[in-house]
Amino acid sequence: MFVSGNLMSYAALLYLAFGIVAAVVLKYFVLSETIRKPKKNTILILGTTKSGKTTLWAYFRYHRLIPTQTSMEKNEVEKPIHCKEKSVVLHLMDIPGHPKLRNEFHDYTPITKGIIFMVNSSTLKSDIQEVGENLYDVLADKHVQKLEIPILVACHKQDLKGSLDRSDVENILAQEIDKLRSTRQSSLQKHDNDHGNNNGDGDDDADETTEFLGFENKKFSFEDLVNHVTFVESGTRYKNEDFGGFSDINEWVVELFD
Amino acid sequence: MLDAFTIATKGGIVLWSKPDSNFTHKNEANDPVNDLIKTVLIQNARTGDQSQRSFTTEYHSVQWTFANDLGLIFVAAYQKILQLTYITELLQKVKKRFVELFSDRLKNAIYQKKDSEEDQVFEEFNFTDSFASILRAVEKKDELSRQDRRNQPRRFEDTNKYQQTMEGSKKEMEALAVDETMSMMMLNSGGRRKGKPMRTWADKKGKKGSGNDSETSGKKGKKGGKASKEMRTWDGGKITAERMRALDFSADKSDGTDTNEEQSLQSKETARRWVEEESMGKLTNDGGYEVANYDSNDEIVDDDEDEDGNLSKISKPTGLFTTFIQTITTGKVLTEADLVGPISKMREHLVQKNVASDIASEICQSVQHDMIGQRITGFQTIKSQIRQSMNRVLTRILTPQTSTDILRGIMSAKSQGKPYSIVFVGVNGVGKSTNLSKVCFWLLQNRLRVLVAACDTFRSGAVEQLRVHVRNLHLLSDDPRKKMVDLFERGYGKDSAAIAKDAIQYATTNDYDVVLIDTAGRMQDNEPLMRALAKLVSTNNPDKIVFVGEALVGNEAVDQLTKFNKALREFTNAQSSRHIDGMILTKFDTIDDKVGAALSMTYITGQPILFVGTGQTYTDLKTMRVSNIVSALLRN
Repeated sequence: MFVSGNLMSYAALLYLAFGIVAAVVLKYFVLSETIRKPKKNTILILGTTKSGKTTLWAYFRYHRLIPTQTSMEKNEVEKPIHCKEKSVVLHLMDIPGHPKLRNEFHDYTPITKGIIFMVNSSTLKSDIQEVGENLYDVLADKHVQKLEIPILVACHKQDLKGSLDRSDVENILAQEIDKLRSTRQSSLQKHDNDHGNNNGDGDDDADETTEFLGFENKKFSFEDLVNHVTFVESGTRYKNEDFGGFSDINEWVVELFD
Repeated sequence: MLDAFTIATKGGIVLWSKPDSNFTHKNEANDPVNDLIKTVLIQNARTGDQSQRSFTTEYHSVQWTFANDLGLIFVAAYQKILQLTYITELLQKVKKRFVELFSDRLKNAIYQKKDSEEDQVFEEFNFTDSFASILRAVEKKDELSRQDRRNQPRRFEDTNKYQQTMEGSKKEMEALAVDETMSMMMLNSGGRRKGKPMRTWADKKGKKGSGNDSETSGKKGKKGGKASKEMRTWDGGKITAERMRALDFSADKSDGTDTNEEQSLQSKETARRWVEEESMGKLTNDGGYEVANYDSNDEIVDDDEDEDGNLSKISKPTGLFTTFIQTITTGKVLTEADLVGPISKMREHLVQKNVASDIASEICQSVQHDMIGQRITGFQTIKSQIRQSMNRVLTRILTPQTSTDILRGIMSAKSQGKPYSIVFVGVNGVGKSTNLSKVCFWLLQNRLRVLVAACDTFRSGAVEQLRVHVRNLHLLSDDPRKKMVDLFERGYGKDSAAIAKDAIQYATTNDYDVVLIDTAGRMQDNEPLMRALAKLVSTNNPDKIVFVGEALVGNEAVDQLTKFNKALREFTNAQSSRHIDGMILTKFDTIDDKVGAALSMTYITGQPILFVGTGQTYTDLKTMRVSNIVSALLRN
């Protein structure tokens, strides 16, 4: 093929060389992607809409309060933070709380180090069913259970009138989860397409564990979980401290990496 | 006039808004922007006319546009009663302007995934002045055009076309030549003028399809980008240095120099051209201008030029190799032209999977809208990118937004001391009674007492059919001695609404947990029967109205569901207006991977598929797994 002229052969060589380079680059990307991912210090910020997820995310990133609206896409950032001895790079991810989007978090739980679950304490009483289901989905996630991912429930919007305090939120949520674990256990099987190309990923699809949360014959309590669940209070105009109303959340995050 | 204007990221961070939203807990109940996002943008709900891109809430009309490459959304809200015709234009211009001013900063501060320093600084976006001037200009233009329409057709000299004629451009030249600064520039760029007098602009415009300029928001490269800044105010016939400074795109300057009524289109067009050439030859000509400011802008524009360049180069065989490299290294920005082909293939694919054809079109359209302006990088092909987007959109549509936990609902009804009632509706022969008994079986397994109300008083044998089911279920229940399930029937030809009412009454007094109401199958066009159904619903106010539909249904699904929904909405009284709360998809075992009906139904109603019926026995009732449906839909 090199007979056909100098120019042609030059071009052919170039293409060949380029092909090799491309292959190497591709390989590098694929490898680095798989190697890098599990090492991330991923913190997920979850919760229903209007619970303050994006505000918290933005506060962690910019150290100031930024007006937000309903998110359509997740926000993520890798940010170095200082812990007591070392400095770690935090991978902070804010998943939208809309019912159609909030289930995306299942994709990230395998690499998650901790979960911050935001609760709007001022509207919890009326939204309890939705918040409860969301929290149940988080707790019952296969990887959350298996990796025993610690969970921080932030009782946010403490500065608003009529907001519930930490222990109230914990009680109400525990009651709701108690109901949900019985109804979810007895819900119908999921339909699986047994036709078509079954490449053995049938089980991988299941995000939800079949484990019963807590102990049977005992009222649900967050202490019975394998996960370490912490409750803190927060609010944007709550306390005049060094980390705003988010100081307890910040502390929890820092402790997570110690 | 304009109530609110918001510029935000898709992640939900508000970059700029009017009225200025400080960080306060505003009235969340009546926020048109959040309403828009929740009901339209996330759910892919139908908004009447997709191309119109407008949405009405209780008080507001809302229009929006995206800048997909930067992940921004621009929303304008105004009072519903007003008819503002200039909103679309305003959105486009604001978008263009904002992207020009801040795209660098957005890339650094907002979209960078890694922060190197401890604190990334979030600067305010100083856009208020620019916005005000754009708004003023657009409003003025709107007013003028309305006056124009009232008066007479405009003269040829006023049209854009005129500028492109030789005569027109000559006149502009004369006007320009008077000014000293401008004549300098004329010398510098003389070569071009000699070669192709004044044709370049017109050609370029023609090629690029000036009509679409606004669509791609400053992505049009140098020429398009600069040329389309029409919001600037121009007055008088001559360009002075002062006015040139007003052309400056620097961030710190506002444009509200002065808004003289008579905008001379001629000088506008001319100056435009000069600015453009100026920036092209910036290496030699920059001297007289505020270099720093221009620089920052030129960088942005140059980036865009690269991407834009790719597209034009593809058509030339010589640049194939460089294009290839560029595509891989810098990525390629998707345009409508790139997407039309693959998207229509995807549409066909969906239709083959038994998705109703209208719905396939709508979904494909919205995927296309989302993708225009996106960048594909590395070795991704357009096709794989479309599959990805499609996957995301389908998952979004199919994911329920309300709780599907019926047992939880029964539990709360129980605590209030009333039975939980479910009405099964649907067309003839889809399996309402069969699936009712399957649901009944499942409820019995959960030790709930169930009353079945036979409200099909129309078809002969319907009551007997239910009686057989109830007898079977009774024998199957844990403790046949205890009456866990019973049939409530009043024979044929009676008013079904009254029977249902009696059944619920009976259930309350006899301590049943659930009432399952079977109704007669009816075609969606049969108005008397639809009215009867609406009456049943409005007198009994059931907890759930479940639509039973065949998985085999194709285009018909749209008609069935919209008409059932419409009947429920219109024939019930306004305060307690109801709609379908969920669906059961029957005969799901017969369709292999042609699961399109599931998508069609959820798309139309926005409600979840509660169960799928997968066989002949009582246990063949399953819940649907969204990821399964999505992968079946996308499988080749």
